[in-house]
Amino acid sequence: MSGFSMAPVPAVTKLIEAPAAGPAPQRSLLGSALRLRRTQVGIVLLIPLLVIVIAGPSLAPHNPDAFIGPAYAPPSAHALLGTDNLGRDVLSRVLAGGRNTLIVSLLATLLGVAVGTALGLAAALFGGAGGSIAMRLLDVIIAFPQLVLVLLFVSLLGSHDWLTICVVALVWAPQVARVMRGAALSVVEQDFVRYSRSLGTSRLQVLWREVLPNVTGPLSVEFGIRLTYSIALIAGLGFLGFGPPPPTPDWGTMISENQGALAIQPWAVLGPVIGIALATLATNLIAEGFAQANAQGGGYAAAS
Amino acid sequence: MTIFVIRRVAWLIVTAVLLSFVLFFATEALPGNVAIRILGQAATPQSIARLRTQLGLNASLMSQYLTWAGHLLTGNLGRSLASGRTLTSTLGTRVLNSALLVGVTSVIAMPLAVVIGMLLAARRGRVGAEVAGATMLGLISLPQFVIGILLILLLSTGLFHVLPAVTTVAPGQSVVHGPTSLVLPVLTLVLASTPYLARLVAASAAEVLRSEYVVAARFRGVRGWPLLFRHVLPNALVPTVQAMTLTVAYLAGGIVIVESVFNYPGIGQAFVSAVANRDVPTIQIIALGLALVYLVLNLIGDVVSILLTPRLRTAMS
Repeated sequence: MSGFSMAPVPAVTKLIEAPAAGPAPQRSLLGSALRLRRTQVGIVLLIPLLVIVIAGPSLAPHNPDAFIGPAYAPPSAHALLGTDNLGRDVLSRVLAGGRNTLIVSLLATLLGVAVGTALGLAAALFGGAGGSIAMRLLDVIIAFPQLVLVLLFVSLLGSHDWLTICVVALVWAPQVARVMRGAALSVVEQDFVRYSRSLGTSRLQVLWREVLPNVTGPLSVEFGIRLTYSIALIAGLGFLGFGPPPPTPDWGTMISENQGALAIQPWAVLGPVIGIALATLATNLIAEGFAQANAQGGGYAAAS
Repeated sequence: MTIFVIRRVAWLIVTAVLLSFVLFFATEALPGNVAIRILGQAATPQSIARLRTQLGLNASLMSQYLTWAGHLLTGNLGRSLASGRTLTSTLGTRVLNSALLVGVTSVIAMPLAVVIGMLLAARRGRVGAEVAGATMLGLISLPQFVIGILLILLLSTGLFHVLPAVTTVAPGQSVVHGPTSLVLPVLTLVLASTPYLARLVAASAAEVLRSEYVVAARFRGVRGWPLLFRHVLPNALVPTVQAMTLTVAYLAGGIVIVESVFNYPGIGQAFVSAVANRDVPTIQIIALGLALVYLVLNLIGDVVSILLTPRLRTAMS
């Protein structure tokens, strides 16, 4: 669901409390996640999306911006999903309209999770009052509903892809930082980290070499969850009228453009809705798979 | 305990001040000067200067912030740049509409989530629970506006358009005050928020079901609903209290998109049109209001979960 920013799912919480031991068992985590049905379903759902991202526009039977018939024409051999509010081919616009949303979501998530992880791990390692105060300050950002925060910046700076990426990353960073700090706190206490520190390894190196490899579990879950929310958030921006400028095809924008004709030509709305639903289902199912693999001890327990 | 509450309230006030500060500076100091925003591209330097004096924009940002915050504290919310009317009058009924939407949703979603969660935990491993669990997972993944659009297709334009509760809420039509206009938005928010809570309740109940006192109760012959609702539920609920209050906060944020889907006359819709019109005073007030709702609910969640947990309660005193 769009912008669901709450406590991590139970599986994640459980992982955070679990004792971490030894170096990262990355392969077994991935392996046990891949054995779960939900991960497999998620990956299958991901395939059509990858096709759309890589080849979507070139698969379109018509030029997505060309007027090919009357507005809201029902599906026919000429236009398999009918036409939209301006008489453009719905299928072509669905195929061409996902790339931007998905790529922007991915970049925003990468940036947000990277910054959040860096903040969270630093807060855990450097610890003390400074760490707690820093986390408290991040609460100020968390207090705003995500969509409100993003719209706030859009209202000031207009809507641009780079801005969306930065703002969505800004929205996720504090939340990721919270979870990653929790995950890292239990690692920092471990003997091998103390040992490494006692050898005189610098804090940054400890962070990179000892702590980071041991929090890949929650990190992968966070990434999947945030990617799901990013897609919902960015498609939602388009739906609210703050997507890329017309006539660029965009899933979220298509829904609001054609919502008025739901009764006559539902495909103009259903097409992009199905695209968005596929994307969020795929990413969330994979995230759930990793969360369950973590909770079942696919990571730490197997290695110890 | 009292000291804890006082400390938390003090922290809430500090956060609220910080928050208003960040909000004000972000909206006032960023490019896109307010005077130009009002006057448009045709603004002459003279008219800009006149408007700036008129709006008090020539004072330093700090003193502008203090004036703004002072006005807020005395209940003067300022005027909308778009309509020129006071925000108290433009937002008053909208706040009530949105509060109604969130309130009705919470009253339905929370008990529903508790019942579903308990059943999921009690029937774990059976086909029905597995199917229900997978459905919940699917619903959690869907963005709110996707759920909303699918509901419109299902209940008002597509498969069934005979349902009386839905006929008045045709999309695009402005919602008149009437209970029927609540149905689809509430249903959307219930479907969007219940699965998350139900899964939390299920996880927490599953843990309690494994505890020794439940095993003991089973040995004494307690089973079925009395076991679930008298013995398991009270302890299973405590860990979810925080999530419940946060769900209300989530709903308060979710109205932005749901109100736009259904053209529901609440503050979420007002926020979106304020963003489109660059109506900064309206944007500031609604963003601040929603953030404060989050802070207060978070505080309530903390305090209630401590009150409900004897161990934490004694640790406090």
